[in-house]
Amino acid sequence: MMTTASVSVLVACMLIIGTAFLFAQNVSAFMAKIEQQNEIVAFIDEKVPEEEYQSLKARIEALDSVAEIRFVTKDQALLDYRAQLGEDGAYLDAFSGEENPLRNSFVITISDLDNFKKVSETVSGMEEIDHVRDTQDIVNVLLSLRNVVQILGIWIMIILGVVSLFIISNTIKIAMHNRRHEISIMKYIGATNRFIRWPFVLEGLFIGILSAAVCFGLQWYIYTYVMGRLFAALNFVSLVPFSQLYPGIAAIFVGIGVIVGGFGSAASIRKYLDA
Amino acid sequence: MIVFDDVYKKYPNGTNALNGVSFKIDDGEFVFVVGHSGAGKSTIIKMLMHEDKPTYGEINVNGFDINKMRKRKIPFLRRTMGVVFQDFRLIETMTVFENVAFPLRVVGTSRRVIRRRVPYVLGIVRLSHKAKNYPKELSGGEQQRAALARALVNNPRIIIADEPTGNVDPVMAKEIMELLSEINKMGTTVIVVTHDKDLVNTFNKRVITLEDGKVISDQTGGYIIHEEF
Repeated sequence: MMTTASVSVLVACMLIIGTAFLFAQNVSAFMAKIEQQNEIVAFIDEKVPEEEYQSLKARIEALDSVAEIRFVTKDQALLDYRAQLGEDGAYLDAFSGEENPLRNSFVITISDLDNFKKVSETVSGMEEIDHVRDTQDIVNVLLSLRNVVQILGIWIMIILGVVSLFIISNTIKIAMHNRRHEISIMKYIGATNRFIRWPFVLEGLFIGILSAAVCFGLQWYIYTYVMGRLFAALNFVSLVPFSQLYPGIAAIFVGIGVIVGGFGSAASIRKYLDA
Repeated sequence: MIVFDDVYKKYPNGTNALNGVSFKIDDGEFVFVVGHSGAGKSTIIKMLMHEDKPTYGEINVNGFDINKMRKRKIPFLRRTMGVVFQDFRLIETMTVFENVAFPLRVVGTSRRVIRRRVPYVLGIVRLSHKAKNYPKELSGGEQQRAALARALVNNPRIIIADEPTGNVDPVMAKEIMELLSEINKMGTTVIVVTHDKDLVNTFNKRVITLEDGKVISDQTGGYIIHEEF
């Protein structure tokens, strides 16, 4: 039956688009996680008295895109450093207490990588700050990677969208072709175009929404049970849970279903109505 | 009322289907339109339904000027006539009842009226027992009567029957002609397009004879061409 064919084609196209969407969402989420690990370490000048630390912290915190600011004492920094060195850390024992050559510092986390450089420069320009250490190079790589993934994701969705529109409009046209006889009889009997059109459009809408529902179920199953388990087994990165993504997926599927089903059949029937 | 005034039709392939056809059919008449195949009979039906426009000449059907009318008015022209096509043209996905109800649904008739009107018309054509069947389950004669019921259901001013005896056996043919005759007595104009000489000779009605796209005779009585068909 034609309905089955239309639904299958529509479901297949939606599944591909949905997968592209989920892939892009996961890459973005992964990027965001990495972004959060990017820190600026601002070393405080020794001449600054400890009473002023609180107001300095507040000033940095007030800057745009600062997600978090953490104060690290020089003693703590030394301990961290020792821990990093492991067994060789014993060499650092000589520098403990008054001999500690390190500085007190603020560790700043940035919420938006695009502002990373700006924040880094602003903090670095403050009188109380001796110097900053940042990871601008890594940030730049991340930024361009994120842009590439986003642009690529959008293009994949556009191209697949156009391809599926083409396939589906052909499927509908075949369905219409099979019913051209019925349409022409209706015209002979004196049915207006509008009268003939609306059941077809309604049917198209029904097919579209049915496909959206079927595809949503399939996508959910594949994502959660197939991909989810695969990723869990790989123990590499965890997927964004489906519960966070389903409003977007549902909106895309219903949107495609309504546009392709409703407008698709309305447009395809025109040829047979004009004849 | 139907008026053809000096109508010409030349098809793009060069065929001259009509070469100056003029006639007038008043309300309530019973008219045969006869002629060889290719004489222009089907072209006349096409013009009546505005499937096609004349190349030259005026046509008026139930007050619709075929040349000047707007395309979106075509459905309203077609609602003033009931056509029984040679190939019946029933919708195969619908039952007989639904097929006959279709013209009523098109004009927005209420379900209540449809439930009364359709069985009544099916009764006239003696097809009540097949109301729930699909066209494929009917014999040729039954399909034709279903098509006639569909043509009648809206009380059209004109009934056009295209070769009503072409696809059915002689007993059925006689029956359908009697039905058309009864319908005509109730005041509906009936036009029967045919090449069946015996059929025309049985009835003493007005006969418009076409040959090569021209009216060669328009008179009451039998078939005037005597060559074989």
